[in-house]
Amino acid sequence: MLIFLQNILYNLFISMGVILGGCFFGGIAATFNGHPPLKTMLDLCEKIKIWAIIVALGGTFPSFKMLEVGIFNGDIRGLFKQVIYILSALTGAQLGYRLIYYLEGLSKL
Amino acid sequence: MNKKLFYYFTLFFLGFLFGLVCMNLYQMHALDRLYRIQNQLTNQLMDKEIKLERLNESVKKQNTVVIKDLHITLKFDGNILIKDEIEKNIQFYLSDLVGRELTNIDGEMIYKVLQKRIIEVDNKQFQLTVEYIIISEKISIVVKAILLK
Repeated sequence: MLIFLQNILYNLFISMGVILGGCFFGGIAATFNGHPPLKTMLDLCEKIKIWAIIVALGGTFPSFKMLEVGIFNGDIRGLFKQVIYILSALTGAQLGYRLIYYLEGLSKL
Repeated sequence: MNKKLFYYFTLFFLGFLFGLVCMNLYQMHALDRLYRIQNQLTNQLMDKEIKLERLNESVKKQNTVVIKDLHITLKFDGNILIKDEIEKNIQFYLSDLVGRELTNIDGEMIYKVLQKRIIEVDNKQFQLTVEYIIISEKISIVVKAILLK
């Protein structure tokens, strides 16, 4: 149970980190390239959101394999675990996205 | 020794990246605002250029010579930003000339508007002296500015 909870936390923070890190460093690249950084960060946020979830889950295939085993072999426990992992990664990505999104709110554009 | 060096280098590099991120986060709103203003100004310029082109075409049809441009050369030994500000002031006084018919332009009036005029920029006073004026489709004016003490 403890490992399960730890994994949830890992997934949440990894996906949030992918979003925040990607956006912050993408913003720096935008500044160097002469593009508006905040707009680039928001665009990147939407683009990499789904990838952040996949990265947090450690690639798509193991997760889908577990889903397959869960559905066709009746391993409901494994299926439930995977769903929770995906949800936690999704929550982390959404949190990162929201943080960047609210940064725009400070703007007086 | 080598390991320690790499450790400090990594520490420095991470700090550098962190600093970049902080600086970018701090300045990103201002940068975005400036890019937006730049876009707006570019659009305005394009719009004005199209209008000007159309006006020129209609003026050509009417066969009248109209003042099309105003070129101000300012001789000033000092800060370039102050120079720009003085130029902007002169532009303000003479901007009405553009678009007028050449025959209606009074050269003496232009001279009197600028000669010995005192302009205040950043709480400093500058006196203008007109060196010469060329009046044609493009009015060229050379003005000298001296800081009054």
